Order: sequence, then C-alpha cells, then structure tokens
Amino acid sequence: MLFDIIKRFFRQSLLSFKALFGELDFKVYVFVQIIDPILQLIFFCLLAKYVYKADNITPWVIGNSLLLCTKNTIFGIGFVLWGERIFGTLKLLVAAPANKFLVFVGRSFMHIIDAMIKVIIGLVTGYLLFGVSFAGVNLPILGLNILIAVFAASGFGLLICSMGLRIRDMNLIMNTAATLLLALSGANFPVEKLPNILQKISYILPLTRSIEIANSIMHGVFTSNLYRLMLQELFIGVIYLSIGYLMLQYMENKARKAASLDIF
Amino acid sequence: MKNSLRTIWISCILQMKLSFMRPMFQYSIIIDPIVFALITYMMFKDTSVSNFIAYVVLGTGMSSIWNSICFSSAGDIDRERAGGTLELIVSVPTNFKIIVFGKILGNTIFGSISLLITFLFIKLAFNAPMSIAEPVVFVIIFIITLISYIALASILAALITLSRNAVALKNCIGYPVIILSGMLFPMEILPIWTRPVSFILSPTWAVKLLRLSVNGIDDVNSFIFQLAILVFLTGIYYLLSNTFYTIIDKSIRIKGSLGRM
Repeated sequence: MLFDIIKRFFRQSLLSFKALFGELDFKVYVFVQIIDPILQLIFFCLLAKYVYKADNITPWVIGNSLLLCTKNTIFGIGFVLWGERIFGTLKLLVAAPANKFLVFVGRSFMHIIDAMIKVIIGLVTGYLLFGVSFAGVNLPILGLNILIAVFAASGFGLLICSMGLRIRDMNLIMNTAATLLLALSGANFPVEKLPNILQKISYILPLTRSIEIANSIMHGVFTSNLYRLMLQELFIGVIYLSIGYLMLQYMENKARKAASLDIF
Repeated sequence: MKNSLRTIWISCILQMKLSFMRPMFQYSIIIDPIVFALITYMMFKDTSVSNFIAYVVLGTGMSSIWNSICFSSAGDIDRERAGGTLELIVSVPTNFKIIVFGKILGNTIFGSISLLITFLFIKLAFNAPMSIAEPVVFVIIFIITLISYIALASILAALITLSRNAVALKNCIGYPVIILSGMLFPMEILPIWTRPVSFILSPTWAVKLLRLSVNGIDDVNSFIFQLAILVFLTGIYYLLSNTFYTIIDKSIRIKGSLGRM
C-alpha cells in the first residue's frame, strides 16, 4: 500500500516534468532554463567586479548561483496550477478524489531536483569563468545548505502556485517574487544596506539565510550559528509550505464557490 | 505616405492599449525598473565610482527599455501567431512591416517611461542628486537612441516571424545586449574578444553618448564620431530589417507556414 503510494508519487513527478518537455522542446528548455539564468549570474558577477573593484567575487557567484533555483521553485512550481488552467485540466484535477496537496508536492519534486542541478551549474560557471575556488570547502555541508535553500524556496513557490487557482495571469506574480528575491536576499549587496523595513522583509523570505550560510562555508567558517541559521531556513520552508497548503484549500474553496476555475 | 503614417499611428495607439493591459508589460515597465534600480543603487552606493547615479539611472533605465522591447516587440509576433491573427495582419493590403513598426513604436514609447520611473524612484526614495551637464544634447541623443532601439526591435520581430523559437530568443537576448553594450558597467571590463560584438550593437554607442551628455562633453570630435557610428548602425539596422521583411514576404508565400507553431 505504502509502496504503491510512493510509486505513484514518483511516477506522477516524472510524468509532470516530462509534460513540460512536451510543451517546450529541449532547445527552448536549455535557452530559457539554463543559458538565461547563467547570463543573469554573469551579469551580476561582472557588475560586482566593476563596482567593488574586486578580484575575488566568490560571494556574488554563491549568492547568484543559489538564486538560480528560483527558475524552478518560483516559475516551475508556480506554473503548476496555472498551467492546468491554461490546458483546461484544472477542473478535472480539482474534481479528482486524490489528495491535492500530495499531487502538487509530487509535481514539485522534479523541480526541486532540477533546481539543485541549476545551483550546481551556477557554481561550476563561477569556477570556470570567475576562478571561484572550492579548495577546503566542506562540500557535504554546502550540499545540505543548497538542499535546504531549494526546499525553502519551493515552499514559497507552492504559496505562489496556490494563487494560480484564482489569479488570471501569474506572470506578474511570479516575476515580481523572483525579482524581490534577487533584490532582498543579500545575493548582490549586504542586507544591512537596506532600509529597516526591507531588512525585516528580507529575513522572512527564503534564501537570505542560505546565502549567508553558503558564503560562510566558502570562507571555511563553520560555527554552531550556521546550524541555527540552517534550522531557521528549514523552518521558513515549513511555514511557507503550510501557508501554501492552507492557501490551496482556501483558493480551491473560493474557486469552487465562484465557479471560476476555468475563467480567464 | 499619409495612409502609412495613419496606419503607424493606429497600430501604435492600439499596441499601447493592448500592452498596458498585459500584467507582464506592467511588470516590465514599472516593477522591474524599480527593483533593478534598488539593486544597482545599493551596489553602487558607498563605492568609489564617480557620478554613480548616472550609471544607476541611465543603466537601469536603458536596460529596462531594452527588456520591455525584448519581451513585448519580440513576443507580440508570437502572440499574434498563437492567437491566429498573424496571417491576417500579414495578408491585409497594408504592408506588414508598417504594422510591426507601429507596434514597436508603441512599445518603445511605453518602455521609455521606465527611464523616468527609475529616475523618480532614485530621486524620491534616496533623495539622490542627479544633474545633466548637457540637457538638450541628452534629449536629442535619447530620441536617436529610441529610434535605434526601434530598428533593433524590428530585426528581432522579423527574426521571430521567421523562427518558431520566440520564447528562447526573447528570453536570451536581454542580458547579452545589456552586458555587451556596457549599460551598467564599461564594456572595457569584458574580454577583448567580445569587443567586435559590442561595437556592432547600437546600444553600446547610445549609452556612451548618453553618459557623456550627463557627465559633460570634453572632446567634441570624439562625441561627434560616436554619434556618427550610432546613426550609421541605426541605418544599417533599418536596411537589414527591410531585407528581412522582404525575405519573410517571399518565404511565407512559398511555404505557407506562417501560422505554424
């Protein structure tokens, strides 16, 4: 029974991800999901190199590499429900007796793996183009930090995804969320430079702590404080996931009552 | 001539109305410039870069105009194709390139608002001083820049009419042009092998000229030389886009594949 559920979960994850390729051909996927994010990373690293006259731009490579996960966690996961609506299958999905939350988590699963691969591609780009050194870096801990970062960002993505049940055009929401993370996560300038109110927002967003932790790991610093930050990031992910779940229920009820599931 | 101008005007106004109704366009001309300006201001703040406000406002504004052109002018052809109206606007008696020109003009006029939004945001949020040494020259260069952007966008729109990879093209053309034309940092920090590409991009010269008109023109001859290059490249772009539209016209009549996704 349990084995069947797990099998169904993975089969659905894989099918949903493959369906993405049904719509986008592989060439488009490479351009949009790999080349464009790498260009974004190169742009911000070059900008930092010029502005700070820095030879070592490791912090910017790390921060912007972690931000690459938003291509999946915000846009990929955020598109799940909206995509169903566009393809006309949303009402079937909502009417199905399956647990919706598990369905959406299942559809997000491959995006989490893809997001981690993107972060690694970003780090490799940093190594190849900007000479970022990984000598002496605790790679397992860095990997764990990436996993937690992607999990927290996915929780945020699920919250955005739930809005797809009610909002007509998710592009605005998804792009604004990704741009806010780019600005407020501390990837390109210290969070302390922001006005107080924005600093507070920064620390309730995912990735801010993960970027701070990753920079410390890259500098060979690893204290108990970093474990505390990791736990906080994990907690933020759980909070977003929970709010996302509640929003999903709420939005589904609203959409059922207003009969607006298929309305554009 | 009168009919063409009327078509351009109607196409431009209609495009502006349609574009502004799209949330993604609102994002491109309002939210993106503000957040991008916040990032660049925070990065440049407290650094040794002199007159950094010029870099922040100009760089962010020009990048935003470019992005809005990429996402709208390039995407519009794809939207017409998806909506099944591309065949109609190609087959009406009015020349297709005139309709597209009107669309791009509308998007560019709206896109240029992002420069104003960037300036206002930096001014109001951070009370940052910004002075323009040669305001009249700045306005003239800005108008020439917009004309040049329209020419570049016409080429993009033509390529997208021919290609089926609009999504890939419009997503991947933004950053390379912003990087190579030195919108936010001098192109001199890039590897030397990238220079030839930078030199054939009109935004490279446009940004240099705008920056000079903000900071003050010390060498008038050099300024005129750079302006001549900008005008020359813009002329080449118009010739190229004209050639592309002639190819499109022939190609779609032979293949009959215009509406194929």
